[in-house]
Amino acid sequence: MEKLVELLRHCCPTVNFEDEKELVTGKVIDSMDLISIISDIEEEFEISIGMEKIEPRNFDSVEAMWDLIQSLRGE
Amino acid sequence: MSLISFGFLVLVGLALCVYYIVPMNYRWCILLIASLVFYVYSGRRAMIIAAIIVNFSYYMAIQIEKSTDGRKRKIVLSLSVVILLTVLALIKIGGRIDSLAGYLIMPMGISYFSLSIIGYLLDIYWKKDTAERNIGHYLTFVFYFPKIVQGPISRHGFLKSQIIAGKRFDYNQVCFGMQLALWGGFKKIVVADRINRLVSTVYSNLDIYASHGGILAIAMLGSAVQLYLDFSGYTDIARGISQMFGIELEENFNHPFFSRSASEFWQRWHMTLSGWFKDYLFLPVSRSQSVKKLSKQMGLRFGPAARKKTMMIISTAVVWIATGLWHGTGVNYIVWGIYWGGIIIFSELFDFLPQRINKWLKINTSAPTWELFRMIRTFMIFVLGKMISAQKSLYDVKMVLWGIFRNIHLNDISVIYDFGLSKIDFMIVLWGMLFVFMVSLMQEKGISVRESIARWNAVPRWMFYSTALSIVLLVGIYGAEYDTSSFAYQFF
Repeated sequence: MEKLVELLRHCCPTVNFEDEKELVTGKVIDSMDLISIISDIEEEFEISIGMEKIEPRNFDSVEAMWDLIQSLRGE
Repeated sequence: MSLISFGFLVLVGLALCVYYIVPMNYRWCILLIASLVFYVYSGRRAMIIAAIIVNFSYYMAIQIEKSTDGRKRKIVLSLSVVILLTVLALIKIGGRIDSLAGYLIMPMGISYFSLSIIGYLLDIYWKKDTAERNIGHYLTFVFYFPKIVQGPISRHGFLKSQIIAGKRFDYNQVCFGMQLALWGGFKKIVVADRINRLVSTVYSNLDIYASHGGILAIAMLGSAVQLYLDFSGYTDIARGISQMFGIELEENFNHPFFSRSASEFWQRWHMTLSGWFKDYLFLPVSRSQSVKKLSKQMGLRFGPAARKKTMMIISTAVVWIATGLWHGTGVNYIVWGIYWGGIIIFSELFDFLPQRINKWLKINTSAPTWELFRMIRTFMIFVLGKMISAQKSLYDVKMVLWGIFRNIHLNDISVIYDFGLSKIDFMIVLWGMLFVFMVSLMQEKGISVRESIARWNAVPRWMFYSTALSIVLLVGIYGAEYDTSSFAYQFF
């Protein structure tokens, strides 16, 4: 998970990813940040995130993103 | 039948009484009947086209959900979306070529419910939603009368459960709904319709006013404020009426004139449209194989930042051309889309520039005046964009800008009362705008005005309500000079 946090910090340096639980629904990150995060995650963890997985609940917190990565790695 | 008419008031009153009397399981039927009555009275000219679109999408959604073959699902989805977009485009182009033909073939609210329907089909394809199997529920979702004319562009997943469940009577909800609708009426018929008189007089006689730069500047600013008050006023009426039935509609405006940047502006203005384009166009385009491939190539050649920038530029450009075309097929709307898309792409591409310039100019970016400057700058970007979209041709755009920069004179102000607005009208507009600004400022600071009023004692509270209603009824603009049934976004 540390690798994910590092990646997120690199993408959006001003966001406090550890404490924030409503990244998308609370509009802490915008759509530009979101596509950057998705493409970074895909590259770093060698997974493919389909449109059906792009929902606020999957990107609202670091934990949610980590769960998504784990579930896609398991598929 | 307009949202601001006696007939509509009667319809809402009757629907409310019956809605809260019938058993919970059948309450959605009342909404359906009210919605169909409203639609037939308001838009019967193209009922058949609307009925075909809705039945077609209802059937196609079930086919997408039923199919287990990925390829077949994709074909059914693509076919449905292409057909829906073609119908929308043909109707819009038809309306542009011949306004009467456009009026006759354009179902009321087609631009809005087409997007709702396409979003619904995509959500089913992505398995984020389930296909509606009850045609009555589906018709209620599409034709729900408070939002059919000009949005908010509702999501099926958001509205469905609220409509079907049926809501218990809640005194506070009904009061809050009435307040919101009244507030919307104030913005629309007291302030926006007055400003519209001036704006429409100036913009329809550009040849005459080209030599009055001051008047053109006032019309340009007024046109932007009028659009906000008209459109947000409509949304408040729609959301207020819906709230009286216990049903929340999506927010469409979040004080956009407090935005510090163009990107922030579009997160606060017509939020259901920008949200729709984000979820159903921006994200799919940025996730498409061709864009991913191109971005990767750019990344390998110019570094990781180039990969992200390529993705952003392509997706943003597609979204803004589509947004322009959604508003209209005229060249002014395409230019308007390029204008906004260009600004947003530029600000994302050169996001390091403001920091460098501020450092160079030694600007204190934490000062309130700097925040104010950014808000005014964003507002002026919107004002210019609105002026572009309001003109019939690029020649008119040039004429307005030329007039403002070349022919501005102090004595222009002397003819300000020649546009059908008296001195009193101007005072009402100025005080109305100030009042809206103060309320917006309070809401922006987190103060809930409605809840504050709800805590007052019954006597002063009801005195306030009746005074507010009287002001809207007495000071509002009615009559033949300006048709109150028209909302600025109604015919998009």
